[in-house]
Amino acid sequence: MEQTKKTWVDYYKKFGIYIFLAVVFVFFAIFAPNFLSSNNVINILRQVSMFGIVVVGVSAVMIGGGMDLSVGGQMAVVGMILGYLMVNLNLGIVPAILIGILTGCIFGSLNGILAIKLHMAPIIVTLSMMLVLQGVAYLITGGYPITGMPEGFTRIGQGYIGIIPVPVIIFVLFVVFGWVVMNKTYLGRQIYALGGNKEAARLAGINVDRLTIFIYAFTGFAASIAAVIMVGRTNASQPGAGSSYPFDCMTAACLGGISISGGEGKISGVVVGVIILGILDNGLVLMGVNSNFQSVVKGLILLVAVAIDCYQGGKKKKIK
Amino acid sequence: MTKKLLSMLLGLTLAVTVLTGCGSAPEAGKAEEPAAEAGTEEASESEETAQSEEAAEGSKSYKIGFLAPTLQTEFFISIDDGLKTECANRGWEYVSVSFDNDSAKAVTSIENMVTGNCNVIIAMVSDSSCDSALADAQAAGVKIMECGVQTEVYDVCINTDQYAVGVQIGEMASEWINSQLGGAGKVVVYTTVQNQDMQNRGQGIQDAIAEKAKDAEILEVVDIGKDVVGAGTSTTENMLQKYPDLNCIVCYGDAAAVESMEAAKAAGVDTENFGIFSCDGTAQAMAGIKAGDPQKGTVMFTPLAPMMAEYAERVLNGETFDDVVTSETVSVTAANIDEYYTE
Amino acid sequence: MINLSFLIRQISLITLLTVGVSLEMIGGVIDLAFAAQLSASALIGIFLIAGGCPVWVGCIGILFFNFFLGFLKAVFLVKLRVPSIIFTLAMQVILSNFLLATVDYTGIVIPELRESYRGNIYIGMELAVTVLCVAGAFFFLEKTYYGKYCRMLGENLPLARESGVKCFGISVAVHLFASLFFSISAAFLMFRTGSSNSALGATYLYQILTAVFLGGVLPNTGKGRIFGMLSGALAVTLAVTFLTGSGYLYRFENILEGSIILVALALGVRKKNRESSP
Repeated sequence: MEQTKKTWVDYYKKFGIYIFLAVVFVFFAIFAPNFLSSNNVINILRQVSMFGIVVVGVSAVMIGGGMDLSVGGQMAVVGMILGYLMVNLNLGIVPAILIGILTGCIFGSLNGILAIKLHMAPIIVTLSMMLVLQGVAYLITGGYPITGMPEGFTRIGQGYIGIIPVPVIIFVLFVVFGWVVMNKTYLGRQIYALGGNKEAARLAGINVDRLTIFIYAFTGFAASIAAVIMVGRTNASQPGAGSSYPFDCMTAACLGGISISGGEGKISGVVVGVIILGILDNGLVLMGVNSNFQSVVKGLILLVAVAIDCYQGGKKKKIK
Repeated sequence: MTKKLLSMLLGLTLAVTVLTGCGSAPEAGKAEEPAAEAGTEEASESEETAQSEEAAEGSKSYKIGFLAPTLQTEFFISIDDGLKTECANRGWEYVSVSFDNDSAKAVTSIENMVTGNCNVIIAMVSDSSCDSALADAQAAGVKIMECGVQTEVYDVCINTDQYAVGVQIGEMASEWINSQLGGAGKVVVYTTVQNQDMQNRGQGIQDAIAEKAKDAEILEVVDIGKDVVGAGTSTTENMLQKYPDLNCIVCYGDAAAVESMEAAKAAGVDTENFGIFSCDGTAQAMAGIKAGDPQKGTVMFTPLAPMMAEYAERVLNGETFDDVVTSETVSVTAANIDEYYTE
Repeated sequence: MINLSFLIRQISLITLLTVGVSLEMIGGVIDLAFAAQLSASALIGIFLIAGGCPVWVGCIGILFFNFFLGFLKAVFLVKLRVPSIIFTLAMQVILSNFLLATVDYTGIVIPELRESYRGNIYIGMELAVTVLCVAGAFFFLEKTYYGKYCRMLGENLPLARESGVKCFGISVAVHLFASLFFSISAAFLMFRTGSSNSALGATYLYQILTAVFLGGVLPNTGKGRIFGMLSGALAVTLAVTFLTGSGYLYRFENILEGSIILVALALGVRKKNRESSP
């Protein structure tokens, strides 16, 4: 019997993300003015809520072995449709939101169908969809933002229940939902199986095509919820919304332990990854650091996280 | 299959390009001839009038090209739409291109607009990196109108001193700070270093506040960076967190300002004693001023599109301009909002 | 005549970039960072020249910087096995934001550099250099063993590794060769505009990817021919010229690029299925 030696990578996989969270938190608590206050913590949570919802969706796709870079474009188009329905067509808030969510699901399903048919590279498929959707978002109003949402709608993005902002509550609900699905249902098991080994999953009787479409549709659903919150927060639909999301979502997911090759990763880790990025953004602004430098830091984080993941993947193969 | 598709696409694009190339060239030539003839001394006035009328009719077929640094912000989109309307009214053709702050694309776009037979290129370039391309365009007979930045190659230049615009924004803010807050302003300035003009504007803001609102304190100057949607919102939330006694935000542009306005409202600031000032005169900002929101003022440019179209017509008719044409700006606050904005 | 010279210049640049990116794609790498590489290296060249160095030193600076980045790509993608699209996406974000964060943004403009570069002789020179480079790429791909193994890497890297091919060495060779193309393109851009900033060449990213896909070079196939690359480059150049002249570019560019890539992928899959079916 061989006892597998625990390398530093194994410890990183288990605890690294929490250690990193603690380090980052302590660093900014010391160096960033006004960082440690209940207001600021709530700020951070509110700022990451939209982003976090989308990341939960993207993580599900990544665990299933795929990738979705088109989430930003989906957010932009759904946001523009929401604004158009509510402001230009005077549709009520609830019907508009329902149509928006349906649109998001349709886009997501389209991604899934394309990913199946063009199984060469879901990452390129979704990159192309991102381009197409960005273009479509601009065509809706010729590039003009839509402003002046109906009274009551902005409460979704700007309102509070007690002291907790509404977006944070939606985020928490979403995370709980995602955690329950991935960890406590057959669906979750199937997604992990799909990402682990697609052929084995198919042979085990899982309808991989339908499952793939479902996962991508779920991401579309997540993107549309995030779009609703974003429009509520800014009181405007912007064609350029979500442009930084593909990169940021991938960073948060990889940081949170989702493996690029699929089949690995936890929703809890992803949430921690999202919070770390939120702390970074908030703390660096409080310290007066250039916003471009923040992107550099995020890029480096993505590189390191993915390199460690791939290095460990390579090692595992060698042991076999 | 791929090769067939490729050859078809190639053939199609080639054919279309050739057709476009042959398209408006003769008409443009015809327009220039009568104009030249009208310029020379003629025997009688009536003959001149007749020929300049001919010129006017020939000039109906001009083509205007608009080159913008971006067509993704309201300011430039409204110029684009305005120019489209102006050209439609004059019976001119109109095309627009955004070079997305990439000078390589700017150069290529200028070349392609010349290929596409534009008679005037309205270039809102950021610096002099496109001067060679603009000179080549002039050599091909195209008139160049620069707007926003003055370089060495142009037939007419419409410019605003961005530093002066910044000063105007700063003065508007200072006036409010002195009258509403008794001078005790705690100010954060949002600027961007994306190009020299915006840097000048940002500097103008700071200098004006330092001079006109001597008791006010500029807490921080933030580079709000590229126009990422949501940046204004999260930066304002963070600034409100960092400086609890913040009561004035002065922005270089309405895009960030209106996001700050929403974020400030959501944070529950005292809207009467919180002021946001910016520039561009977009609809959302004006609506905020009218509604008594934290947005208290914006600097509006007199509509640039009609001005550009007018000067394009004049330069096509042979007028030359030695001096730079200045575009006017006006400060819009609650006092005069009704003159400039109706719901 | 002047329109022809515009066209020649544009085709030269787009061809160089298409061939460079295609070479990397044939080797199994989807490169999203080359546009940021252009601006970064051009900025280094401009810095050197503005700092008083002769022009050739600036060009050498561009070359070395691109070689360094090419080498990094080989290290991360082959040694550390990071997926190419993620690595290059991260690299693109780091490069472009690093420049914005550190360089006093406006970029540097050297009018004399730009002015002295005008004239048909330089257009002819660009064309000649492009033809030479394409010939070199053809030779590399079809007549050397680097090209052969490059295709193996692109089609199936793990298998290539197991069959004893020196994957890292081949990858380094391919990336350095592609970096040569990027360096020359960066130099052309720098001369043409006499400047650089963090956005220089950024808009080429999806245009070139479209040209590459249109030319029949698809990821994970190891397939691609020089003729295809040239066709793709020509098609994209002409399309951009036409769309700009008719005013449709900014409205439809993204949609067209995304759609063309999807169609190219679909056609590629059909071809693959036909080839692999009995």
